Amino acid sequence: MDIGKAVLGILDEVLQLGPRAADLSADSPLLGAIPELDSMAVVAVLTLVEERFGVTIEDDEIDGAVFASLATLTHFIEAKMAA
Amino acid sequence: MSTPELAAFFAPGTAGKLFSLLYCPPANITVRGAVMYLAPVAEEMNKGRRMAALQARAWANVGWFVLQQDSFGCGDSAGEFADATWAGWLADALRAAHWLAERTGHRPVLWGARAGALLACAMAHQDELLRQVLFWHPVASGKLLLQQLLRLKVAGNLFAAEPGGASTRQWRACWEAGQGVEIAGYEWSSALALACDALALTPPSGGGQLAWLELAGGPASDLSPAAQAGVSAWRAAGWAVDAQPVSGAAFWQVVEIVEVPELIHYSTQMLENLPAVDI
Repeated sequence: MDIGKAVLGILDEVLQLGPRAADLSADSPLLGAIPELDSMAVVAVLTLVEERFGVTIEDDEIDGAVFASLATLTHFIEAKMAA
Repeated sequence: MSTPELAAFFAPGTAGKLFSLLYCPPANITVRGAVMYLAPVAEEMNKGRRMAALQARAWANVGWFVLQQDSFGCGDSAGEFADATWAGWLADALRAAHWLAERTGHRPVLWGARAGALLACAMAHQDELLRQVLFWHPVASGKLLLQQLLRLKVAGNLFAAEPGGASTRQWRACWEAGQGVEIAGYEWSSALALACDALALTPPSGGGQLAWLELAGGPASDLSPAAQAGVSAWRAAGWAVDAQPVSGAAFWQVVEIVEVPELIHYSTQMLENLPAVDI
């Protein structure tokens, strides 16, 4: 499955990106660039990631770098799934 | 259109009276069987109340008795959440399932929503006669449930520049040290949290019939990788699994109370496909 696409779907669902979703590339910045992505939105994203991909995420694994871009978030999930 | 008859009463439980609602099929409808609801836990139970009521009504209208009972310390039942135990919830749920079978002449289908799926699963492990199960977007494990609850508590600290507030790890340490932790108005005792931490959605051996419904925010296409893995595990244990992705909002966590008619449509259909079991 295409994890990047699934991650974009989760962001769209939580943040209601609408047409902005189509403009997001792998390297587009997330944290700080999308105003809706606040701490509660991050919690919602993490919850959906855990439920959809069957992983458990500890909060000390999460920092700003994970949510820097679509690519960093996707890479983080791929690494969790491989672990 | 006929409407189901609704009986509200208090049933005896191991530690206090339990508020119960029994939806009965209208008199002119042939009885198909019985369903017992296992609700999500804490705030998700409240958020899920409307969908649970709509589903119970839909099933009753086509011939199913549906029992909804608030667990000890939850909803309108006796006791405080802080005093609830997993063993107590399980014993009460099994007692209610047996009562429902006696009352209706049908072994109930266990309908587990979110964390309620973990309770349904534990019941099926305890009683080999309870082998028809329906899941609404099940929580995969107790550990995940607790992690998500704790994360809400620490959300504000996630990206704090200075390490200040407690982490989920620190709250877990409180439970391990025997202390309770308050999360969004619910006091989770050490005993309850540690019991939940050990729960998993492991299929009971011996097989049975399982209907698995998963909600996807966007257009539903495939089950998520996590649900696919779960379905495979139950099939490998000899269960016949009917799995269905459904398009709709995660009604147990969104701010507004929402309805997902498609979930009710599929759930009603999937129950019709289960073979009837008399006691």
